[in-house]
Amino acid sequence: MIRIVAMRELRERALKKGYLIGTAITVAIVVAAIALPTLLGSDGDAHHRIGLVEGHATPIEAELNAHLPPNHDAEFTTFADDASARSAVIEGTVDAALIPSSTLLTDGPASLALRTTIDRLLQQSTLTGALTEAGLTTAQIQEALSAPSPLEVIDLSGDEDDNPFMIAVFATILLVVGVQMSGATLLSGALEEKSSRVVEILVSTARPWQLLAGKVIATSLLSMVQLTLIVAAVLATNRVVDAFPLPEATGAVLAVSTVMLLAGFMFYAALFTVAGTLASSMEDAQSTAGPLYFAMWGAYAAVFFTVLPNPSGIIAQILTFLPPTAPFIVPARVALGEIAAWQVPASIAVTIIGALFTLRIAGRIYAASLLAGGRLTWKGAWKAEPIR
Amino acid sequence: MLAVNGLTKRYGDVVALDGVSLIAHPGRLLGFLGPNGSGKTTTMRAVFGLVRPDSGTVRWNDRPVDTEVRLRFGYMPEQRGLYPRMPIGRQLTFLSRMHGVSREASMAAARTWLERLGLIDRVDDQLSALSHGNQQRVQLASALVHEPDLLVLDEPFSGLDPLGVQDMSEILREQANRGATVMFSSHQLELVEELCDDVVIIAQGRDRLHGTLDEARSAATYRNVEVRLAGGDTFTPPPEAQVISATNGMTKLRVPVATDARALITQLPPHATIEHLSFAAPRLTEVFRDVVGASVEDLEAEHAAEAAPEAGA
Repeated sequence: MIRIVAMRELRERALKKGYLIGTAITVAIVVAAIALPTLLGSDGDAHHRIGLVEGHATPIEAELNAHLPPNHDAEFTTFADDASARSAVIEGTVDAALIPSSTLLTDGPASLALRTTIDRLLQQSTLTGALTEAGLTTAQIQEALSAPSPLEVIDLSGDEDDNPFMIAVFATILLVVGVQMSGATLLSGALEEKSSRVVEILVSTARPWQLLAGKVIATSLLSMVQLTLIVAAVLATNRVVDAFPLPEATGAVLAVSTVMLLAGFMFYAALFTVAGTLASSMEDAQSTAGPLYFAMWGAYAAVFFTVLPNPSGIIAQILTFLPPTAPFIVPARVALGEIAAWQVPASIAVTIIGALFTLRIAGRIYAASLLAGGRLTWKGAWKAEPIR
Repeated sequence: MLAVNGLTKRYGDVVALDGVSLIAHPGRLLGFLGPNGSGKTTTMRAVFGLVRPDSGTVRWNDRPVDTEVRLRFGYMPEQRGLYPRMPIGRQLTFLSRMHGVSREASMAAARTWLERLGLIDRVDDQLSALSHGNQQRVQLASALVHEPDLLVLDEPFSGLDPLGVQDMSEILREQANRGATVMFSSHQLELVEELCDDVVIIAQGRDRLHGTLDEARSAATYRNVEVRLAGGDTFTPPPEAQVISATNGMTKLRVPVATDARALITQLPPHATIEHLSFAAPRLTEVFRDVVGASVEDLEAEHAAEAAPEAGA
């Protein structure tokens, strides 16, 4: 029975233009948000047109392309003298020109990658010349100049860099958007069933909690698909344009977010569905769902105002164990690495238990309000006699 | 066989059901008749577990009615409604599957019904794209698509035009003929009278009369007599008769049920030519007034005056 209800919801919702277009647009926006700054930013200018002056000794052409970062490359144009190289830069036929001795002409700020690479190559070339004059063999010079192992930086101050912070914000926003979207879907879906009166036929065979469970499962699945697509788009885009390095905690954040998403969804989805059945019109629904929006945006605000600035503070600790807020707060704390290991499973357990408990209570209120005409309050529905 | 026994239900001070009992038999059409507000919908909802009675039982084939038993029931609520934006073919299939019928059988049954209703070329249309009359047909099909053993319809004739009433009557008769137990409610007694095999009359939350249609009609304590004599001759009615009207030569009388029709004829003037003579049990509306002591219209007006919405219709 639950499966049949869920299948209907999936089919009727997933194939609706709104869902498909909404998902496509969201994915497109996310991809654009990541890809565009990288592609348009000066540092991302991957193709360098460089002018050289004839007779300049540096064997820079072969070396430069080998030493630039992987997504950069360079092409060279040779000019007769400094003056013609200079005017080529100003006219924009080349991005930069290297003139004797050791001067890089640019129009606007030079790409950091290009500048450091040329700098290093020039130093190496000078050094190689000096060492050859000192009588060293080529092999000896190569050994002396071979790059040391990369510098390892260990930050003892405990300050995190920006990336985990970004991931934490991203996880919270995704969850809020996901709950908000499916909450609205459930709200209007439940209202439609009640106002079209089809619900009386449905409950003549199915039990109200079965209808509720079917709806919640289907909507959660749809939202999971949506969020999975978004996350996959983010990771794939990032892999292609290399916009930001992913912190080590990314995998953990995804895993915790997924579990919390499911538990948090059950919690909110059940309540949103009930809110829909309490209402008798869409305006009503906005007000019966008011407390839910309040809880959800409250949790969202809490992430920004208390959890991100102080992820291990007492407020963050308390909110970790409240089912309405935990789904938004725990992924953020995991991303920041500021959560004791035992708190993650404990919070997940509390949220799941809270969600199941809510489903049960919601089932009762749902059953009491399905056949009621007009608008009910939460309190009125709780006191009303449930059907079956 | 559906057996409802002694259902009571109060909503605060309002008594919705006051000991309703009825029995519906397979292969027969039971008319559940009474004014609006007499407890018909509440009783029908109780059959589907949508109202929890304070006392009394509902049994199907001598079993208590549970979720599994209800899968074999079909219900058309008074408040009609299906998914307005779902294609009608998928909608019927879904409702059939909700009654435990397999996917393939449900799809086949949905097509069969849409063909029968002449809507097969609109199988992928949303319900809301259909005309009002066609929406009502789909609504009826949604109660029948899983071939229920018990069919319960709440005011199926309300809002139908004469053609719709005829279609509905035919389909209900067909369902009874295939062996289903069919129960429907109506507050328009004269409209459905001829369709019923059995009748239960309900007023003020209690069943007042049940039996076959003939038994119900003969429950009245009088018979209706109509006499017209050629040439507008008049006659003196017997002393036990009550004259209802005498216009255009037609005299309408009410005589006690024990009155012998032949004795009545002998009281007419011996040489008068009888143009019209009828001796009949009263119509159900009159039976109702006789049994309950108030007309359907009176009770509906009374109910509307003290209207407690949750008491149901």
